[in-house]
Amino acid sequence: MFHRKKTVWFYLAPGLIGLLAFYFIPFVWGMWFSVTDGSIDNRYVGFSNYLRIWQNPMFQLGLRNTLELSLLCAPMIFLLSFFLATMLRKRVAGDGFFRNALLMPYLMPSAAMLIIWQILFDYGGVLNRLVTALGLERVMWLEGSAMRAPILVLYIWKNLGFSVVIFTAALQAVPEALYEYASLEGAGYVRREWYITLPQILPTAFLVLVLAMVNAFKIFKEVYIIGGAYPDETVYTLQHYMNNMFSKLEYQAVTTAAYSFAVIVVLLFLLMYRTRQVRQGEAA
Amino acid sequence: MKKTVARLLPMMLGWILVFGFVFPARAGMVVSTTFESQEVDPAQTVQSLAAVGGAVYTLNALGKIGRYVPATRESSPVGACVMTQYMADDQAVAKALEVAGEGMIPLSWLFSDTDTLYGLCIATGQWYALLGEDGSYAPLMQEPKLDTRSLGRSQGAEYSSVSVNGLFARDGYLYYTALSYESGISYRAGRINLDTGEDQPFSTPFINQMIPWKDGALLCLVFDQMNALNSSTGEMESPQYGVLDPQKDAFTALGQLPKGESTFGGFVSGLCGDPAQDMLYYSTGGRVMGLNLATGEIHISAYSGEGMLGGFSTDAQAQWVDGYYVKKTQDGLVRYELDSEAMAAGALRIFGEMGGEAHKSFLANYPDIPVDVATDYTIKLEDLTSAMVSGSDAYDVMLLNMSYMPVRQLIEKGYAMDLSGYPEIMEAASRLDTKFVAPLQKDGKVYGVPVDMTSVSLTLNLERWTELGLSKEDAPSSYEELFDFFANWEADYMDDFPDMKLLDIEPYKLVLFSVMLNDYLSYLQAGSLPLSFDTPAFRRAMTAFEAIDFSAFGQDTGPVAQAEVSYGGEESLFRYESAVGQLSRPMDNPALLLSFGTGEKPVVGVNTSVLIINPKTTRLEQAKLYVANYLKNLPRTGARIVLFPENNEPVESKTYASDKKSIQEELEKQSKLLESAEESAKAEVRERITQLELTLENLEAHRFIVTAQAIEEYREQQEPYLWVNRQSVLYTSDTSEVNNLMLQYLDKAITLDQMIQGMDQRVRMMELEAQ
Repeated sequence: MFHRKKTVWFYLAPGLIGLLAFYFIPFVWGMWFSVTDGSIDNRYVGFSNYLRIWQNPMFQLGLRNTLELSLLCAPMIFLLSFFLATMLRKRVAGDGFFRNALLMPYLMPSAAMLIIWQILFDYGGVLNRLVTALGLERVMWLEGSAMRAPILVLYIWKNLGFSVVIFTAALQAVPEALYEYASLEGAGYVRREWYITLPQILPTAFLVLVLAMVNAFKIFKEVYIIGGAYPDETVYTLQHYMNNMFSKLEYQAVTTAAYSFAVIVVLLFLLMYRTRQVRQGEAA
Repeated sequence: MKKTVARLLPMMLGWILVFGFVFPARAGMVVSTTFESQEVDPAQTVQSLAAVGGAVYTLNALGKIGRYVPATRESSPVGACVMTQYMADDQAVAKALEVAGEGMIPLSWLFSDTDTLYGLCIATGQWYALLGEDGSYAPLMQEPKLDTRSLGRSQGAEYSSVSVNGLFARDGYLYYTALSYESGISYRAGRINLDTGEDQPFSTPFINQMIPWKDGALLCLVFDQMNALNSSTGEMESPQYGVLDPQKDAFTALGQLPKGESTFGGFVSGLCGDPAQDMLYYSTGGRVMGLNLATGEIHISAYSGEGMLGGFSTDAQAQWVDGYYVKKTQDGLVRYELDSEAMAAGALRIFGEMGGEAHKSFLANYPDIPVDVATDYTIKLEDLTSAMVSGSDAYDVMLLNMSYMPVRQLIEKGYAMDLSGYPEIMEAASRLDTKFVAPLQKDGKVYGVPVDMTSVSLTLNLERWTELGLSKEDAPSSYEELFDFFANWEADYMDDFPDMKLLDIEPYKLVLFSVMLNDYLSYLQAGSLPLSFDTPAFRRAMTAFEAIDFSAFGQDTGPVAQAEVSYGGEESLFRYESAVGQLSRPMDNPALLLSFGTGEKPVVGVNTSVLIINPKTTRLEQAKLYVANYLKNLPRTGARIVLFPENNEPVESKTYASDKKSIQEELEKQSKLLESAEESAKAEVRERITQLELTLENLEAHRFIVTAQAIEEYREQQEPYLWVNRQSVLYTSDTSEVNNLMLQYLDKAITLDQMIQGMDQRVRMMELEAQ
């Protein structure tokens, strides 16, 4: 038995070494970095970097915007993907095509999507032509606070497919008989999904929500591609702050902001996890 | 000369120079500092060298032949000849000989076989054994005349269009490699039979360098330098080396030299070797590499201390002499001990140096200190600082630009050594202009020393200006006045001066905007004003700018970012150039110092290069020595006067004394000749005397390359307005949005208000981030 245990470690070693080298050591190293002053002697300064960063108006702005964008994107992705997954549950002709079509944006490089977005949202773009055809004023979608709209749409469009796939997989496990019985009882779409589907796939739904939240927290590429390093204040995110600090060689600020960000994400996750446990407890 | 921006590298460099603000260097990336123009002393310029025994013989630009023993560093004069390297025609040689007088022979190159020194005059094909049996100078003409057409001999041609890379004799043949500029650039390699004079070119193409090797064979570098840049990879190709059998005219490749670290890594020069040890040596970047042909092992054999451009020259000849590598450079002969003990212990590592006068003086003054100069100028600052922390591959001394690099940040974070405790540096630093030192001080201590400054501005061509009926006093003194002048050009002058160009670089719109913007940033910094574009000063200038109709100059077509940049208006009314503090330039092209309001004082922003020492250097003594030596040997026509307010002595041309002496000697000679000459020849001699007197007069008129008047004018008119630019927040991170806003404005896609609002918003964000 002991001999077999040693063999297990042998097989685990490559993965563990990788984890140690590429995750654990950089994680601890980064943590150390966030409590040093960045001088040539890299002196320990306690939590003064954290105090400085949390008092920085741009960090605060980035955090606020990131939270706002996340709170907008995550529920929308959750609801839309759930809705689309339920629509695709039924075996109909061409459902495979729709599933794939939804996943395609997820696989597309963001930079390539920008071109499409510029065609759509440019001042003289498709959307503004529609707007003017309706007799309304053109909007500078890619400038100022209006930039939020194309960013939200771009983000949701790009990330929706992934959540749909997860939901679709989970829906396969829900017995069809439950729906037939509910239909016989006269339950409509909303009642069926709320009372049958959601309780059946609650762990998956929780996972989708957590992933959507965590991913939405990392919104950056989409904003950066459209707005650059210094976009309008309404779309300046936490990742902008970190990216710009890196460009300015302020590594302490980068690591401090990154760990602050990680703590917030973990706290959010714990909050959601706790809520789920309470809900499950209530249901039991 | 018109090319699109993307096509040519030089053009892109031009863009960076001209539109430094619009296209600033990527934040954190260390870019080169300055290329400085240097005086060339012909007495020091070795034109050709050849090794015989344990000595190297040199021929300089004045026709002096010298002898140098690398082992002892002893040098001694050997003799003199008429230097004919740039002559192609034997008539020109005859004329030069006539002036030189009897006993002189014409020579353009030295060469040797194993134990005899020869000289060759390419323009005539004559060659001479130069030394007598006792080693003294005793030129003896050899027969027959050689067919030197491959080396540039050309009847009736004014100048030779061939540059010889190397010559040596073996087994009755003179071997040559050369670069021809006749109808494009082409390589030439071959041999001339010394018994018949007949030329036999080799058929292998692109033989770049060639040295004698074993068993009558030749070792060659085969390399097309002109097409060395691989456009698909963006990297330089490296040369192939191999053996050439001259009898069969057959080349056998042995391998390819490794790519160097240099930005111009593919360029190698100064090929020489020690066949007995199978060792091949060559220069690349700042290093002399040793390649063992038997094992294929390659290593650094010496540090040349040259920068990125080391090895760039196509004719940097070198000789291996008893374990020394002796190379000819623009500044004379340099010698490196190969694989020395001192070298094995590493080298003083310098970053940012491009091979300027002060740096070279260190190499000359301390030849026993190996110096390794960074040859990759695209290193990121974070890599430099990381290396300083880890101590691995760190530089000991760094030359950084204060306008584009976070020098202040480095000082604050302890990445620059406190120099206050070192009297050898502080003695010179205490005499520096305080405005240059102040940004490098913290708590009264000095952490770096300024060593160079440049300031690019508009200059006024006074000759053109007076043609317009205007005087120097009428020159614009503010940006409003300058822009008004441009706006009114069509109405006031265009009909009378249709061919006059206003600026030497087009498009005017971008140049004027960039110049103004750069000065505006300096103006704000100098006045301790917040960085904002929504100010009366900026709006005033922009209002005047908007009044200019650029279509009147035929340039308001298409997006500015895609505009074709055109250079070459040397005779234009205004020029965009480095003029402030450039004291050796002509005074009839004064710099325009423009303010942001009539009657206000101008602010002249200067980009300053500073030297800092790595506080963790393990070569502190050498680093201190380097900085102290640097300060003592700053370029005498610029930094030495600009940075040191007490230096007000005019600067004499390096060649003045020797030129005067030789003219006076010639005058004496001709005067004596006049006394003894026959009556019929006297007129010609008198003519020569008159010419020599005129030359002397001209020499006196140009004795000083920096005159007392130029220094005085600088002290009065420019120095009071200098502002040492600090790194602006606009240069600290990705500012593409700010650039885009400017370009959108110039393309009229957005209004001035939109641009100002957008730029201010972004600047504010940058500043808040930095809090």
